[in-house]
Amino acid sequence: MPLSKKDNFLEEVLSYIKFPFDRDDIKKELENHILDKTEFYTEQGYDEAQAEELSVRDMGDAVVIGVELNKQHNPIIGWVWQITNALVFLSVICSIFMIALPMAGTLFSGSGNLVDTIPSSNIVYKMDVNEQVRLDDRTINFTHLIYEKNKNMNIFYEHYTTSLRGGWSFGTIGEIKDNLGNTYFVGSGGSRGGIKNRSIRTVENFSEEADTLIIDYDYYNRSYRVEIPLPAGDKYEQT
Amino acid sequence: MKIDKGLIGGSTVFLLLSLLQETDRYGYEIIKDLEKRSDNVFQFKEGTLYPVLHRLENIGYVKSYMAKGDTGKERRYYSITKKGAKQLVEEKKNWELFSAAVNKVTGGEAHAFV
Repeated sequence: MPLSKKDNFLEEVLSYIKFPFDRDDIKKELENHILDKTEFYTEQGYDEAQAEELSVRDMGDAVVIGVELNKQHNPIIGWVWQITNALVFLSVICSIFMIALPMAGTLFSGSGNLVDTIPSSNIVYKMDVNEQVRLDDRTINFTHLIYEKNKNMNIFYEHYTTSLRGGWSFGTIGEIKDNLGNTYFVGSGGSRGGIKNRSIRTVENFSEEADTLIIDYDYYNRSYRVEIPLPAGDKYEQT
Repeated sequence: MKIDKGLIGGSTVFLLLSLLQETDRYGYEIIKDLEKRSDNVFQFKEGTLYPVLHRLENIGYVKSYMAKGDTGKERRYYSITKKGAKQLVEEKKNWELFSAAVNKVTGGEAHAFV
């Protein structure tokens, strides 16, 4: 079936529009105009075919209209606009994953995401700890220890402040020692979270013979001492 | 007498912004109103209205939105922006200057068409 005069006209105009995303809108707008005009002519007593022909004639030259419209629908600006929209969309999605989800995790779930960052094949032992200390208006809750094959001792803890001033950043948790008299350099660490921060401190080369981990904090006239019995010591004694 | 778009070319923006200043309109309405108010003196190649409207939208003189009018059919309506309203004041001034100058040259009344 051959295209109608209206469709022919629309096809020709659209063939000049280089930016594909605008074609539908342009087509609809011009088509509605032709349909309105056709209705006007049929009300005047013309039959449908005549009415459509007159309406298309009144529109003018499809080539001129197509060329002029294409100038206003610049493909470069159009693509920049499309890409910008896509990027905004992606960054919103990323924000949701990077901010909202960890925050929700911190607020609503008990187990730490940080614990999962250590591959299970590296783990010698993992133990749950429930040692809580308070320093003024901040609370530190030691939650897990993971000892790795490469002698890294990972100390997991949550910390939060009961005042709204905030202010306490990723500060020291104190000196890390063992029952054998070793004091360890506190190496790398990481922190995640919103209201309640989750942190990890890693001590390298922690003695596998030690049976107690000691966290000793004594700064600015504040102090605490946490002693955590370790399974490693038992194992050593047994052998 | 019919005047084609070429003759009123310079004042197209003035005419369109004036119409949209009154109320939001879609393309077909704009054409109808231009013809009716000019007693059919202004007759356009109707399709050529759209590149002009889209240009005005790109410049920021008008913005468009889809809406269902009295007929219940969805149409792209155009509405004048603040920037467009400012431009309309300029266009009006220019038109007054122009028509006054034409009248002075031809000996007519300076304000006859204003």
